[in-house]
Amino acid sequence: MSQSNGNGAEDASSSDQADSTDLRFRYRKLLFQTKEKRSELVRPESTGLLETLEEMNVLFSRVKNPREAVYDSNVLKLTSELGLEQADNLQTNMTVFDRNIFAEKLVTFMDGRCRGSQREKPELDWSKLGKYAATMFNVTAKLDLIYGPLAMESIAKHRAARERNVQRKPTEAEKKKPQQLQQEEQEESTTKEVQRVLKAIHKLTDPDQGTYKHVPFFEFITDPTSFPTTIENMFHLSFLVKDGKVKLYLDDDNTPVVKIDVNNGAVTSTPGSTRAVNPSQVVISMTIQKWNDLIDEFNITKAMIPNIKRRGK
Amino acid sequence: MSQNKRAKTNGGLDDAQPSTSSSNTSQSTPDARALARSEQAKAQLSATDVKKLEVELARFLLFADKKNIPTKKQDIVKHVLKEHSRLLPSVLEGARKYLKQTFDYSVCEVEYNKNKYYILRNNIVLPELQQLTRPAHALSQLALLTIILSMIHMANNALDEADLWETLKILGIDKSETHVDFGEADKLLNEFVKQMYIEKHKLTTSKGLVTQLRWGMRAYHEVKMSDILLFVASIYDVDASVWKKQFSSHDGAMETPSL
Repeated sequence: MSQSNGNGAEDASSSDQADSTDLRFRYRKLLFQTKEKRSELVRPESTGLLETLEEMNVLFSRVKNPREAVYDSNVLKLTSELGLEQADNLQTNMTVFDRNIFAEKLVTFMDGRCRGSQREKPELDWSKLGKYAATMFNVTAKLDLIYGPLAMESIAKHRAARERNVQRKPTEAEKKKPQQLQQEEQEESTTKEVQRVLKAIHKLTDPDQGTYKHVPFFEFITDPTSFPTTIENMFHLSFLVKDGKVKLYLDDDNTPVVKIDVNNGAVTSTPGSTRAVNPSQVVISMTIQKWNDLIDEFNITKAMIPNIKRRGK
Repeated sequence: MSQNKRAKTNGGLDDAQPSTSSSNTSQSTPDARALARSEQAKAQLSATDVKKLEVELARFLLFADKKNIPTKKQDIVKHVLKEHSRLLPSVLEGARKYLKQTFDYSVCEVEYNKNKYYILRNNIVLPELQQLTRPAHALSQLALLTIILSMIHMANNALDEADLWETLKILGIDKSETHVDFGEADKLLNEFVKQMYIEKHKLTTSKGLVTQLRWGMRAYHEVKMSDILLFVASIYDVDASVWKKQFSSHDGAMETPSL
């Protein structure tokens, strides 16, 4: 039942066991020896491999178990590899190809002097050989763009150089743009700015969210970071007052305040009119000195009107 | 049909056989399935979009060929196809057609180190033209390449790098010095490896650990072994039939000794 693997170790008598141990020992020894003598065995005149084969034959006749057979196949494998190497080393050609002689003949072909001493390097005409060689090769024609590629990411080498160039160029390109677009920007921006100021006032005086019932004028328009912006804020606010959208008046403390005008500036509301009915005019002067004073006086740290810097320089 | 059974260190060769045309990829089932899948995905795009991708791929392959370095499959997906990576098989077929009809170039798929590469192969054989279209410095490099390939061939496609340098000394090329025409010869050799003209393999033989040089896939496509043999014979001033082994095995299989 359990003796199905061939002769199995089950019913092996002690002599059989000793035999297989001995076999394995021999095989291992043979394998080791063959490996050791490797370089010697592959020499063309050596017959060592034949002897190995003979010994293997002798041993194999004693093999009973698969285990020893495995050893045998290992040795056989190694022997056959070495045999192949030996065959390669055998020079069966009548005319042996000697690399060095080949090289010397090449030197002659390329019009070089045959070197006398070892130190001298021959002067060779490589292009002569190159022309001859070119007839053997069949290559594709390499494409090239006359002015260079417009956009080619696949050449990674140029990326580093191009990055440096790219950084320099946009500054020139950008300089051209403002000349063209400035006019348009100026026309639109005033309206936009006015809207922005209006929005700011709305936000600040919003009964739910806002912080003020009426916004103090000077604090509202002053931008502590920029004097021109302060002037602009006044300018935009004046538009709003002109259109009657906001009211500018003196409050109880006699400080000017700004507030959304619900009636749109009409004392007697006239439907359809967008202009304030009773316009009164005020001239407000502003200098840098005054601006600084305002900042100090009211401790203005942040502009109430949010502005987005459009003047990128 | 696979005559080129090379040693296992080289990876499988699917279609990169020198003598057969390499225009059909769908020989094995996984490729056929990939093609079917990409045909499906193709149907989802408009015809103009697909055509645009094909044209772009053809251009990409052409320009990438400029440096003679094979194009990686991943690069194609990354730069040309981007999100349409599944379309690769069918777009590649389209690009193949363009290149074949316009230039008579074949796109050959080459596998090396488990990566897939593509090279372009010129089907028009005009030796006279080849002589004319090379710049001067390329000629000398080509000469060196030819010499190296010849030596590898005569060594049955298994040349030790050490032996190579020994022989090159006679030609005035020293590994450690800078050459007048070639610069650093070692770098040039690596350049050839990069372009897939030569392959380097590290092996253990009876001489210990060596670097073995073999013909690269591009060499098989661009030059015939028989031509190289004739070249060697003419330099050696001997009839080529003398070297029986090389004479009978050109354009066929070269068994590399598996060590």
